[in-house]
Amino acid sequence: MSETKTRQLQRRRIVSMRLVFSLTAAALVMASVIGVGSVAERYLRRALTTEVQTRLMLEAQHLANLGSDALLDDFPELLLMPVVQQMQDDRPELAFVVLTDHEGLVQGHADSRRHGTQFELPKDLVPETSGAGQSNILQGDSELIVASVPIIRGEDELGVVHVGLWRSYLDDVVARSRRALVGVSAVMMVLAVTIASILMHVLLRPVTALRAGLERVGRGDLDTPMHLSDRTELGLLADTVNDMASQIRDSQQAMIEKERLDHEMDLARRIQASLMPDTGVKVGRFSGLGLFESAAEVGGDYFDVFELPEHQLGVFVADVAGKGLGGCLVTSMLAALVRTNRREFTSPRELLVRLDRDLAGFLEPGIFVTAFYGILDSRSGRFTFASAAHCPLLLARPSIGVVEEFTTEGVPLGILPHDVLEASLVDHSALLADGDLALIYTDGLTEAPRASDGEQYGVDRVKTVMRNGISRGSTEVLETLRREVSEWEGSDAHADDLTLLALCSDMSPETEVASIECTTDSTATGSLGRVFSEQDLAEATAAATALPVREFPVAVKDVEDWIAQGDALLVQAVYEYICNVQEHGFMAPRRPSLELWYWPSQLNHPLAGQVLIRDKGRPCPPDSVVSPDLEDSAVRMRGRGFGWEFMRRALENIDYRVIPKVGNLCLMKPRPPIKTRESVDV
Amino acid sequence: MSNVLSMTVDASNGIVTVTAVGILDAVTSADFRDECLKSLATADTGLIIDVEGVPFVASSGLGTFLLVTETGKRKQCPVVISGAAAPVREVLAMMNLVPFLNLQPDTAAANSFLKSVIPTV
Repeated sequence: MSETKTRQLQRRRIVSMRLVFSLTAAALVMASVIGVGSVAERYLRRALTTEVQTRLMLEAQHLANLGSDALLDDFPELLLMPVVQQMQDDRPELAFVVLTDHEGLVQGHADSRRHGTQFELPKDLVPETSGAGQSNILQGDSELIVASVPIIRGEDELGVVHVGLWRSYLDDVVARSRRALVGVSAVMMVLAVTIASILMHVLLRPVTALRAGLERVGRGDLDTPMHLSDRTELGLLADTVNDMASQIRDSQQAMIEKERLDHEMDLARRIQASLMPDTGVKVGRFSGLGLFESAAEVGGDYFDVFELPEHQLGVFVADVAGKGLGGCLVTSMLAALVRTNRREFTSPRELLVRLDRDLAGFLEPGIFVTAFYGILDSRSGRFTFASAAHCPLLLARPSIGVVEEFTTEGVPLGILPHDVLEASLVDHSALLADGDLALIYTDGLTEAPRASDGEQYGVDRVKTVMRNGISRGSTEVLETLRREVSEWEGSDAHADDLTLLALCSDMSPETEVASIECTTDSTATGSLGRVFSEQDLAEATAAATALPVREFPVAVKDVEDWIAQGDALLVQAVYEYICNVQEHGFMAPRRPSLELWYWPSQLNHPLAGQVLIRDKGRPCPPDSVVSPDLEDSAVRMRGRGFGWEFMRRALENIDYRVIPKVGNLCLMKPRPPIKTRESVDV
Repeated sequence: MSNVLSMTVDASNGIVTVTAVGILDAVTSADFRDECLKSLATADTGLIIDVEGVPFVASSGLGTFLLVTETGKRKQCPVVISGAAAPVREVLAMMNLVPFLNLQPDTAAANSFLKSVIPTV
């Protein structure tokens, strides 16, 4: 490339600035001389003409004065001829000098043979404009200027004096003047060209040094500055070139540094991405699928989905506050800690507590981690989770057309004393039924700013996407969220890391669950004991009265009549359970399969006074629903979720089991009668 | 068996009284909630929900009590639940809902309560 340029430079025809400048100076001098000379000549000719005319007229008048006496003499020609001859000898430019008498006969002439002859002026004379009085006449043609002055004596006109001047005399005078001007001009031109050449030579001497310096810069030598002591603009140009070379050198160094950093950041980004699974993980009928897109800057999001013992699926999502390599390093450390400890802890809370303890010694001030860890039991669908100030869990339940939001309390990892975190972290649980979709995410989703006005994407839009897309599967929901957030931000480069993790079941409701799920102590009084089969159930319920339910809704009165003399709270608990199964336990339009047995109190039976309910819908254990926080006005406004809370408070014991090929069994044991029940004061 | 809940609405001096008689179960509580919210919207100074004739309130009914009361608070229109029977009060107490509701023994007491909290009535 540089050789090509050099060849181009060599081939370029150079026009010497010295030559250009000298020729220009000469041309300017010549133009000035010609312009000034032409103007000067015109004024010179005009002034000279006026001068000559005036002088000619004065000479004619002078001669007329002499002639007035001479014409009165008897031989005027003898007196006048010497005067006229003298004039013409002195002034060779005079064409003629003639004195005529009043009859027009020549009385004075340099040629004596003309005396007494009639004198006539040339025919084509025309009056000139200046120098003449009323009686004096100044005329001329292309060759002559003639002054005619009458010879007056008293009041008599004795004759006329005619003095003629060759007009070529004027041209001769002007030509002499022009020759002088041309001579001076030639001298000035030579002088100008010489001075211009010398000046250009002096001025352009630094150009050679400049050219050499620029060629050095072109070859990449940015370290050798040009040293020019020139005090003209060329010296300033040399300084500018030196500055430019210095700036190019700095830019090159910055670019090299940036490329190095970009390479490292790209490496970090790839390491960060490699920490996260790029495919979904399936355990039983549940699968977990994550999506991660990093921001322009490497960030601190992390997620993992992994299989745990006992048919469990673990999901972990974290967001490290602090971007860049620092955040990425913490993410790597977090990933290692999660992988090391995840099989040791069966409680999400305990794992987060452990992580907080392990991270405490490593995190710099100002860096903290929000984290969500959940364990899904694929057999029952129970999802137990704890959140260290992470974004709420969203659970879309298409069977009832809602998206529930599980906001948990907890402080981030690594920011507060360890005991504060221990006190704030709690395990929560929710039941994932067939068709439900749980979404865990980082704030890169809900806090994604809109390009136009900075408005955040918000959790409501996430819920809408979940609600609308859940029928098409978790992959579709995640992809829709990713696409919508990109469109919302107006760019594929996110403002923050975007992490989404979906949990869902791909199993139909008819599929049987794998094993038993017992939520209460099976050794407690009034439990189902060893009921693991249809036959066990038939034997256990042989002494009970049954209430088969074939259609919904079930009336309270039917339950009351069935549990005659029974505890009112037990009646209501049974009713709440039935409503719960109706609302959540079956996927419309499936018909309910609900059976109830009651062992009257007066029976001599271990289960006397208790109710057993069997359904074959999706499992719905009592501890799968979080107790409503009545202090929260939003909970009060929602006005839902009190059914399970009622059962927990009203009953002494609930024994809930999911038994393969049998169904979901729930044994309700009422509290002992309270005598003061009727005296509850308001 | 059909689930029956009859409701009557009476308005006087800016106070609207919704009187419910029957079972407030999962089926009827939806209509009950709609009627209460509609009455609350027309009430200027207070709403009385008279449940003296309601022997049974399911959890959905309890949720309705909370929802209407909370909505009334936001509208600055107090909501009073009057005449709750003993089993209903027992359930309310057991669920720890009493602190979040305005309970009065009957409609007269409810009216007096509203007059005491709203001087202009």
